[in-house]
Formats: sequence, C-alpha cells, structure tokens
Amino acid sequence: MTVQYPRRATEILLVEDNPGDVRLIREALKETSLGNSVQHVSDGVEAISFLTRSEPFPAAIRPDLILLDLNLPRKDGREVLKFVKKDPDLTLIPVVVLTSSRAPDDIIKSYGLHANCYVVKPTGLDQFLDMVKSIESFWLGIVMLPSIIEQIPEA
Amino acid sequence: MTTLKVPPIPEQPSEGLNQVAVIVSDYLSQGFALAELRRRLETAIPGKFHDLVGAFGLLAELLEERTADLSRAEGELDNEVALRLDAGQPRITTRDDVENTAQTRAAKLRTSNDAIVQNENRFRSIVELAADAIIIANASGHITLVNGSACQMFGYGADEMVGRLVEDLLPSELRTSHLKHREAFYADPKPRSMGEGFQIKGLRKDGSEFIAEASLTPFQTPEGLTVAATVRDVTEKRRLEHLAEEALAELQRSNAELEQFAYVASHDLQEPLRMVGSYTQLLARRYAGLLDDDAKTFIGFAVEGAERMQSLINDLLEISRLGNSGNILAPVSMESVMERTRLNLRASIVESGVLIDQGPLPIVNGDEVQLTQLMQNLITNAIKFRGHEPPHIKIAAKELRGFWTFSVEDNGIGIDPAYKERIFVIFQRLHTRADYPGTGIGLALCKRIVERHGGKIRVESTLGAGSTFSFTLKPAVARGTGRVSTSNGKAPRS
Repeated sequence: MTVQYPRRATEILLVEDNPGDVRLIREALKETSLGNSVQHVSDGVEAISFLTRSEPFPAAIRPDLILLDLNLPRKDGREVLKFVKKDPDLTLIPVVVLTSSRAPDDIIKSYGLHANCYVVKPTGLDQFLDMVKSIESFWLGIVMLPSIIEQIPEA
Repeated sequence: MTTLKVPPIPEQPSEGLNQVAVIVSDYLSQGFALAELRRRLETAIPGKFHDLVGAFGLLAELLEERTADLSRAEGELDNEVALRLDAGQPRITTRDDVENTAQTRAAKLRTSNDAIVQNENRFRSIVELAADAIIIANASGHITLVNGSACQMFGYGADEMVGRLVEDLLPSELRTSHLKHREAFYADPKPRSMGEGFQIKGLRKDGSEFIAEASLTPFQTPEGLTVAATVRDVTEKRRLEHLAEEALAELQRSNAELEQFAYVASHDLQEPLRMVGSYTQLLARRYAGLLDDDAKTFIGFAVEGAERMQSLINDLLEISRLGNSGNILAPVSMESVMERTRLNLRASIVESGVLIDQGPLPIVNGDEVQLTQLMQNLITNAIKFRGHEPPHIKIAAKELRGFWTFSVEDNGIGIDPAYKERIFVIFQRLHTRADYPGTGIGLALCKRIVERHGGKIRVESTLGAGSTFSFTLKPAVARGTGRVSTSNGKAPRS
C-alpha cells in the first residue's frame, strides 16, 4: 500500500502568452479531480519576476510545477528555462515545456537546458484537453514532486 | 681453229710478191676474168704460180671457216637478243627511244606535281577560310602563318603578324608567364584541345583585350617543331556563363528562402487556426442546449473548415520540410523501407485486408526517412482508392539503364489518363472529400521526394482496372557521400 501524504492544492505557474490557450488550459484543469491552483504570467520577464518574488509579484507563491511556453515576448521560454534550472532555489521545480513547436532543434535544446519534459500542443480541441488532463494526472497524481517533502511530517 | 699453213715467206719480200699484191688488188677492184688473172700472175712470178695457188686455196678454206664461225656467232647473238626482247628487257636501241622515255617521265612528273600543288592549295584554302583563327608558330615562337580569321580577330594584316613573337598578341602583363608556358609546352609537346583550361587574354592592334581559348597542335616539320593554334574569342561566352551562374545562384537562394518562408508561415498559421477550431467546438459543446439545429450545422461547417485548414498546413509543412533538410545520401535498403512502411500502416493494412506482394527490392542511394514517406504515401493511396475487389498491391523493382525502376501496382479504381499529370500537382484532387478524404498532397510529396533523389515518377492506369505508379532511383554507391538535391535533381546545395 502506497503511503498517502495529505496534500495541499498543487500550485501551478502557467507561462503562456496566448490567452486562448490560457483559458483552454484552465478549463481543462478545472475538470480534474485533484486540487490545483493556476497562476498565470504572459511573458518571460514576468515569469522571472514571479519566481524571484520581485516586483510586481513580491508575494508570489513558489510553484510546485511550471508549464512553460517557449515562444514568448520580451524574454522567451528558453531563457526562463535556463534561469530556473541554474538558480539553486528554483532548480528543483519540474518544468513542463508546453509549446506548438515540433522543431527537433527546440526539443533537443529544451532537454539540454534540463526541461523535465517537452509536450507539443495538439491541434484538436479534445486532444488538447486530454493532453492537459494527462499532464495533471501524471505530474500531480503519480509523480512525487520535490515540494512534497514540505508536507511530510517529521518522522 | 685451223692454222694457216703458209709456205715460209722469204726474209725480204721479193719484187715478185709486190707485183702479185698489185695484180690481186687490181683483180679485186676491176674484176677482170680469171684467165687474165692467171696470165698476169704467170708473167709476174714464173714457176711460182702453183705455190701461190696452193696458198690462195688454203686462204680460201680459212676464210670459209671464219665466215661460218661468224655466221654461227651472229645467229647466236640474234637468238640472245630475241630471248632478251621476250623477257622484256629494255632495249634502248636508239637515241629517239631514249628521248621518248624521258618525255613520258617528265609528263608524269608534271601531273603529280600538279596534283600536289592542287592538294596544297586545297589545304591552304581550308586554313585560310576557316571561321576559327589559326596561328602557326615555329620552334622559336615566331608566327609563320596566319589565316584571315586570325587577322580579323587581332586587327592586323597578315604581313604584320607573320614574323612576330606569339607573346606580342598578349597583354604585356601576361607575356612572361605565357613564355614560360610556351617553353614548357615545347619541351613536352602534346596536342591540347580547347576548353582544357587553357585560357588566355588576347591583345588586339587597337589595344583592346579579349578573353580567348586556344587549342594547340604540335607537329614536326623539316624546320623543327611547329605549333598550330586555333584561337576563339570567348569573351561573350564567358559573359553569358557568368550570367547563367549568377542566375542559378539567385534561383537557389530564392528557392531556399521560399522554402524557409513556407516552413515558418505554415508553423505560425497553426496557432490562430487552433484557436478557431478549438473554441468553435467548445462553443458547440458548452452551449449545445442553447443552439438550434441550424446553429449546430453552421458551427459544424466552421469546425470542419478549421480542421481541413490544419491538414493543409500540416501538409505544406511536410513538403517544405523536405527542402530544409539537407540530408546526406547513403545506401538504403528498400526492403527495410517496406518493413517500416508496413509497420506504420499496420492498422489500415489490417482494416482493408490488402494483400501486398513484394518482389526482391534493391539497395538504393537516398534518404531513408523520405523514401519511407514515399512508399507510405503510394501504398496509402493504393489502399484508399480501392475498388470493390479485395485490394491487391504488387511491388517490384527492375534495373533499367543504370537506374532502378520501382513499380507499385494496384487493382483499385484507376485514374482517367487525362489527369495523369495533374494528380502530381499539389492539392489537386480528382474526387470530392465526401468520397475520398485527403488534401491531395500525397502524390505531390512523392514527386518531390523522387525528384530530389534524381529520379522520375509517373503513372499508367486504366479507369476501373487499377493503376501502376513507377519511379526511378539510383543504385547505391560504394561511398555514401553527397546531398539530396534541392531543386529537381539538379545542382546540389553547397
């Protein structure tokens, strides 16, 4: 029998510049059973401000999971990824790259920068929704996130 | 030989003998009668007459013998002459004959001299009238002969050119190096034809320069090594070559840009399209209760449109991706390509119950991924456009003139021969989407792939009976180098 730890709602940071996709993702995550809370920023600069708790996000909560689009205005996703994985405070946070790019170059570079996985946005609505739900059930349901240790009672 | 027996002659000839000599001489010249001869003799030498007659008798006998000998000898000589005449021995008999022979010989000599002169004139004409400039130089590099075209080309009269050094016909800065080349050539003279990289600049009388190509023919004469050069002004040809090279480079640049553009555009078009499709569907779902049938139909068309557009964009991406990938050519086993294809199409092969007959397939030179795509498209089509009979596909390969010719034959609905070319054009379809799904890109992609591999593709078909698609590929080379060409199998991208 697997040990169950009481879990608070998973905090997800969604870094995505397309409002249409933001809404779709939120809708898909709403329909899931596991509790989650989605914070959203729309470009790379905001993403880093959020993660470093600087203006305009001084009270930002450290996310348990980051969903990261690659093609973003100002600072793009690749730079955010690099930043997150280099920072000792942030490096443990799993990053799921969620992008419309199929380019092999992007795939290799992302894994090279230590993205935890790379997902291509499906074109059909149902496939898209299913994809989001899969991410949720895997990363939030099956996977032990590093931040879980905060919730483990001292043995 | 009978020796003459002559009575001993006294030491001093007597008066009587002298008289006899006179009398005999008179007889011989005057011819009087013998009786008279006897009377004169008896008077001159009384009592010695009989001795004299005896001596004469002996002489006569001797003479007869001699005459006989002579006749015999003459006869033999005549025989000899006759024999020699028969054997054809020339017999210069008279001075006239000698003169006749001399004249005949002289005539013959004149005729052959004339022929030689005629031939020489003929060759001179050929050289003189040749359209190409011909310059002949001797072993020391001096011009010995030029033709009309050479004079025209350089702007000199023939007399101005003959005797000059060959180097005089070049711009001054090239003279030293040309001299070196010339000396090297003379040291090891080998005929060299035009276009073997032997390109020089010519200098005309008026100071203008032009680009020239020359062929060199060395030959030995009694005066030593002679070189005949044919010279051609290729300035215009070079200019056109440069233009063509530039045009080709520009075309390739432009092609590459277009392909890049198509790739980026297709990619960027996906996103907004996804929005249209997704939200139209969401609308339909979320508000199904509020929508009447018309609304649902309308939304249906919108969604379908978006989906089709997505397919088209995917296909465009597919085709433009071909151009972006400069894949290396390597030996590819068409049998493993078919294995992969069967694997990829597993589901539809099972669903359609198609029987795929595959003959032995060779190893070709190409890109494995693209070739797999090619076979996949052809077989997908064959399955899709099947007829009422159980679908049957035959795949074979045969060698023809250094290429492998592959054939994919099906027993499907066939193609109207009028559309044999059109079906290879991108997005061209022969049926409605309701009858057969698809964007009409499959064959355009096949054509692109085959042509990028330096081959050709075509179809033979009978409406209602089936189609046979055939395409050519190059056999594998020992060293797998080179790139898949990016424009119809012509110049590879550098």
